[in-house]
Amino acid sequence: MFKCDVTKEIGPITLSCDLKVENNRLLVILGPSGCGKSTLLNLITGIMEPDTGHISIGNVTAFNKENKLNQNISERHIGYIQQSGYLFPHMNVKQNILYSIPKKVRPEHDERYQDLMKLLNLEEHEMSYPNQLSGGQKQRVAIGRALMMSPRLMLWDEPFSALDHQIRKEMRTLVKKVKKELGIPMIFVTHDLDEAYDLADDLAVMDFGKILQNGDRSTVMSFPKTSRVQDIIGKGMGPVVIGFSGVSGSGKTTVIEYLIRDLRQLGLKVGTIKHDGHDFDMDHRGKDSYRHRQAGANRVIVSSSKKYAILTTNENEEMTLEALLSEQRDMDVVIFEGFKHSVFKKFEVIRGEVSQEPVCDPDALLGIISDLDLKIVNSQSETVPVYPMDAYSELVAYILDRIKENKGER
Amino acid sequence: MNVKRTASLFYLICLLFIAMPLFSLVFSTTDGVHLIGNTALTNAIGVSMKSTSVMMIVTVLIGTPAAYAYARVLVNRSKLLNVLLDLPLVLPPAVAGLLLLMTFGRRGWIGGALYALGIQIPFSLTAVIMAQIFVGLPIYIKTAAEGFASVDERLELTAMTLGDTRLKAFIKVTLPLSASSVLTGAIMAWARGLAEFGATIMFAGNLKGVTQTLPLAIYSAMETDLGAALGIAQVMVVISMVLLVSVHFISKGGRRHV
Repeated sequence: MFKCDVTKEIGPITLSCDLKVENNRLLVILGPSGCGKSTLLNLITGIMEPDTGHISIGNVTAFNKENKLNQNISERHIGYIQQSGYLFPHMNVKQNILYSIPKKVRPEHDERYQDLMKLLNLEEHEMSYPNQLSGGQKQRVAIGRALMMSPRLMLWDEPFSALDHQIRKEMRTLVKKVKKELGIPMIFVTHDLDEAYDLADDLAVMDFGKILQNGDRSTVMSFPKTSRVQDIIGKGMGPVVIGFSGVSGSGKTTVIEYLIRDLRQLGLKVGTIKHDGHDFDMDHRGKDSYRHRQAGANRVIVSSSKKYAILTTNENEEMTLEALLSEQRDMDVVIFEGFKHSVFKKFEVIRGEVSQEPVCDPDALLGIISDLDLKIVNSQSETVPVYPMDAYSELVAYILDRIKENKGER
Repeated sequence: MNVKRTASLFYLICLLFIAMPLFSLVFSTTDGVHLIGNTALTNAIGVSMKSTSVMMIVTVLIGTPAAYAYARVLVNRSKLLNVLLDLPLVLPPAVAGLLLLMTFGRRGWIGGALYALGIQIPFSLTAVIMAQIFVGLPIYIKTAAEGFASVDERLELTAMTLGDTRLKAFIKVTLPLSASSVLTGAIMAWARGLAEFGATIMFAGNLKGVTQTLPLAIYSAMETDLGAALGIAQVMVVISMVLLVSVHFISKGGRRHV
C-alpha cells in the first residue's frame, strides 16, 4: 500500500495532498494543467522535498518530516514513466532495460528479462538504439526499464499523451497487464478522460494543489461533490470534438454554420474555436467568428497561434490547446476551425477534411453540404438549391451517436 | 560580378596568409640531425611534458566538478562569476603573469605567507604549471560545461529513480553523453597550456631545464641558433596539427546515437 500526506509551497499556491492507494489498484489523478499533479509526483519520487508530512511505500517510510527521515531518490524503488520516456540515448534497448541490474548479476535476471521483452513485444528491437524506435516502442522500453527493477510503486505522468490514438489504446491494455502482473499500487496522472475512465480503479480530482474529491472511480464520476469537480470531470466523457480544416474558400465555415444550426435545433450546446490571428473582431459581418455566432453557437473562441482570446468573456490570456478545449468542456460539441490537423494529436477528433482546393464553383461547394432542407446564398447573393449529399447527414448522425455514447453508461 | 566567387577569393587570401608562414617553416634549411642531442630542446620537451601533464590532471580533477556546477547550478544565476571565468581568455598573458606574481610572489599576499613557511612558488616548475592552469582551466570548464548542459537533467534523475546515486548517474549517463565535449575541452586546454608563453616568462622565468618550456626555448634559441628555433617550431606545428585533427574527429564521432 502507498500512503502520503504532504504539503509543499509552490509559488502562490500550497500543494496539500492526502492520498492512499491499495496494492493492485490504480489511482488516476485528474486535473487541469498546472494544478500541481507533476509536483506531487516529484515529491513522491524524491526529486523535490515536501515542506511537511510523510510518505510511505509498502512498509517503508520514504519521508517523514517529524523524524527528519528522507530517503534518497535511488532508495525508493519507484517506477517513474514520463511523457518523454527519457531513454538513455547511448544505450540500446537491452542496455536500457537492464540499467538497474548490476552487470555481475545480469545472468540471474535473464529469464525475467526475456519475459519482459515478450510482454512488451520488443524482442526484435533488443539491439536497436532509442533514435531508431517509434514513440510507442520508446515508451514500452521505458516501462520495461522501470519494471526490471521490481518497483514497489509505479508513477505514470501523462505517459501516452504524445502518442497516436490507436497506440494509446494499446498502451492502456499494457498498463492493465502490468498492474495485474505486479500487483503494486500505481498512480496515473492524465487529463485524458478516456484514459481515466478506462484505467482508474480510484479517481482523485485535483485543482490548485488540492485534492477536491477522491474515491472509487464510479462514485466520483457519478456523484461529483462540487461544481468544480463536475467541471473537471466534464459531462460524461466531455464534448465530442470535430476539427475542420481546408484552405480558405473551401467552404468549411459554411458547413460549420449548418452544423451549428442543426445541432442547436436538436437542443445541443455547441462551442466553436476558430484559429485566426486576424479574426478578433467578432462584430465584423465577414468574419467567420461572426458567422459562428450568428448561426447560434453557445460560445465562440478565437485564437491565434500564440494567444487565445475568449471573446465571450472578454478575457485575454495565453492558453494551450488543451486549456482552450477545457474552456468548452461544458459543451456537447466543440468544433475547431482552421487548425492544422497535426495539432489534434492529443485529442480524439472527428476530422472533417473539406476540399483542399478553393471552391469557386457553387455547385462543388454545395456538394459537400447536405441533404437537409438547407438554403445557401452564394457570393452573388443568389439563393441556390441544395443537392442531397450523404456526407453531411452521415457526419451529423455520427456526432449524435458519439454524444449518446459519451453520455450513456458504458 | 559574382559575389560568391569574389568572397571565395578573400577566403583564399586569408588561407594563404596563414599557410605561407607554415610553408616557410617546412622549407627552412634546418636538418633534423642538427637537433639531436640538443640539450635545450630535450630539456624543454621534458619541462613542457611534465608541466602540462600535471596541469591536465589538476585541470580535469578540479575542472570537471566545477563544470558540472557551472552547467547545473550556476549557469543562469551569477553573471559576474561567469564573466570572471572568461577573464583569462581575454587577458594579455603578460598581465596574467604579472598578476600571478603579485599574488604568489614573495611580496604577494599569499606568496608572502607561503614564503614565511619556506615555500617559494615563482620561478619554479610549480609556477609554470600554475600559469598553464590559469589560462587552460577556463577553456576546459566552459567546453565541458557546454557538454554537461546539453544532457537533459531529467535523464540523470531517471537514472536515480532506477537506483543510481547522483555521482553514479553522472558517470554512467551524463559523462558518456558529453564525452566528446569533455575530451575536446581537455585537448584545447592542453594545447593552450603547451603554448603558454607570456604568463610563464613573467611568473616562472626562463630557466633552462627548470622552467624553460618549448615556446620559451624557441625564444631563447632565436638569439643564438636560428636553426634550433626553427626545429623546435616544427615540432610544435606538428603537435598542433595532430591536436586539431583529433579535436575534429572527436567532435564528429561523438554521440553517434543521439
